[in-house]
Amino acid sequence: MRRLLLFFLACFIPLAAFCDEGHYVNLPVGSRAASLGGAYLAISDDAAGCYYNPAGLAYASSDSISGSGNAFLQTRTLYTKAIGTQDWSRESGDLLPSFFGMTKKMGDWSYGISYAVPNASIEHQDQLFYDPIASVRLFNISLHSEDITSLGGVSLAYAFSDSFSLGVTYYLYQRKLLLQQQQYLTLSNGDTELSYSSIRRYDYGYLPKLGLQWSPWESFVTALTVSQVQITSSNFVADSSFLDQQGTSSNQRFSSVKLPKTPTQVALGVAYFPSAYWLFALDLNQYSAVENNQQIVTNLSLGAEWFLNKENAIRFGYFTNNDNRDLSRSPSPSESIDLIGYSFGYSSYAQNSSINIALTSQSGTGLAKLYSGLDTTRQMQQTSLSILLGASYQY
Amino acid sequence: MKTNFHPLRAFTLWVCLLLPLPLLGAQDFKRRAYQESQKVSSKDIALEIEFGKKLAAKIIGSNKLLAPGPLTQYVATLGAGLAAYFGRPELQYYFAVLDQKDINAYACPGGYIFVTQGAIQAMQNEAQLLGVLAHELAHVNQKHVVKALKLKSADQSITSGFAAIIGGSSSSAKVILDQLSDKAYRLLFEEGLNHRDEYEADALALQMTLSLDYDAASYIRYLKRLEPKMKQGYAKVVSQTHPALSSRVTKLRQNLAELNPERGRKTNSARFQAQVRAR
Repeated sequence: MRRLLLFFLACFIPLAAFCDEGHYVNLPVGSRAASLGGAYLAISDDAAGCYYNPAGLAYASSDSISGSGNAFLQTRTLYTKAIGTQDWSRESGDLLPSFFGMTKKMGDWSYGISYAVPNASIEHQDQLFYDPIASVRLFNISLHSEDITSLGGVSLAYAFSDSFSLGVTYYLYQRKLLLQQQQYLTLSNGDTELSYSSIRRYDYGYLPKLGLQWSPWESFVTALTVSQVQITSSNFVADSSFLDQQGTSSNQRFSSVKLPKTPTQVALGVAYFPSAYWLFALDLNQYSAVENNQQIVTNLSLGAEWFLNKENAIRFGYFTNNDNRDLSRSPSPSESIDLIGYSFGYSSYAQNSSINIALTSQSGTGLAKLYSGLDTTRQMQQTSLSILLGASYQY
Repeated sequence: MKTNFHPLRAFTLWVCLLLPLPLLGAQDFKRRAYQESQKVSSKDIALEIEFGKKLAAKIIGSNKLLAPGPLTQYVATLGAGLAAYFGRPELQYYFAVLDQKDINAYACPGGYIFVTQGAIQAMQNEAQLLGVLAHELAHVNQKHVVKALKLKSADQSITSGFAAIIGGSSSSAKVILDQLSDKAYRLLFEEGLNHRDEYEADALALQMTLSLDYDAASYIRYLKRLEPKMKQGYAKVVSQTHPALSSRVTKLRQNLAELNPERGRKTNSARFQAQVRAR
């Protein structure tokens, strides 16, 4: 019990615990691709191809505009016995910007312009815990966080033949991370403690993505992409203030312009088109490890598309979203949780246009080290659901 | 699935597995079911005919038609016979001769087909004329101009309405026929169709000619005959708008070798010469 009290007196849950730096699949991009579980490398023949594999644009059947105005993303993370003996649940649900893109063909050349938000979360939370442990009467935690990665740029693809194409996408990259939290503690003897902390981080750079598509056999397409975010400027500022039960305050500021390292992503994909009514796709995405506490991560995506008739199609997907953090080598606070996802989608087609809805769900269990300086781990569970409504227009 | 698999190894594996495999055919297998339904829209067909009529009027307005006579009647009859076998049933085909020395032939959407008098003068027999008309008929059947211009009727469906709201599109998708017919005219007389479309039309022309028991090699010989005339400047539009003749001839010879037809098919040289002289 003495040990738990120390958490509250000296080790309030640090802000770093709220940053998800471990996963590469957050917000699905493009409603059709999302409903295929993200297995889109060897398909990629519409505007979403700008993001997944620009080489696929070379085989787009026509010029098109695609958009997913906003995605609704709901996430729930539960830490078991994190606040004394009580569970701590974090929940977020918001409409987030998603994707817009257009493609145009000019003979064997195709180009595209797109805007994508592959990572976004907005969380706002106020929670009160009464008597979490014997010596603490009240613990109040209030936080607000925004973590949004935006990409915008151009793509170019060239069909060398009916079976081989190359493409490149050049995205400008921006990540905005804002976190604020206050924690207030009332001990059973009436003393109080207060902490406030904030993080602001702005990263700017670019993301080149090189892709190719190859059809070695009829009905069969393979694909490969290589990409890595290149960060050219970064500004990180962290502030923290602490008022202890004796009324002594302390303030700290840490700032850095050190450029964060980013992983190289190599992705392989295959797609099988047995008929105009069926499609199966598989992608393997591999990310290199760039920090000592990271490990190489490979994620798998599987997707199937079935046209019920010429106007209606449904899709299914399965994917993994593994964590790159090795908890045994990570200083606290840190967490590691591998997620498994499922997706379902429906499209209604008209002559020149379609509307699409995609549902994706992720869940998993893992471990979290929530408190600075302590290797104590807590069980954690995470579930999320995203709903994506999109439309495309072919002209 | 965490592994120690290195990205470079993944790339090497991919290349090693697939490099020895042969490269094959077109990407038609990627067509989805909803794209097939676009082929049979009655609104699209009506628009294609209306558009073709406008384009044909523009061609006749800028290029004199040969006065009606035995030659025009002969071309129209031969063309009608060809269309009866191979034309799209929803279209009425028209065949006319342009009073031009330049060697060429043109196909407008909707079934309006023109051949120049210069082209006919360069021919030796009916099989060659049939080959040229079949080449133009193939452009119509395969909707090459329609596809190049992305000619589509306005979509009034509920799904399209939703898509317009979500995607923010408006009535800009409606077709402005006049502007498009200018573009189509430039396509036929200046820019040319996609080379793949031209090769496809050649291949289909060969099949049609053979199916009607004509000598398909005559069509290839006709293209060979154009080479010196092109150098003399009699086929400016053809040279500007079509792939190199040598390349077309090579591909046609490959196609013919694959079909391996019996020799001794009809050319109807005498009938052709009689009609051309009687013009």
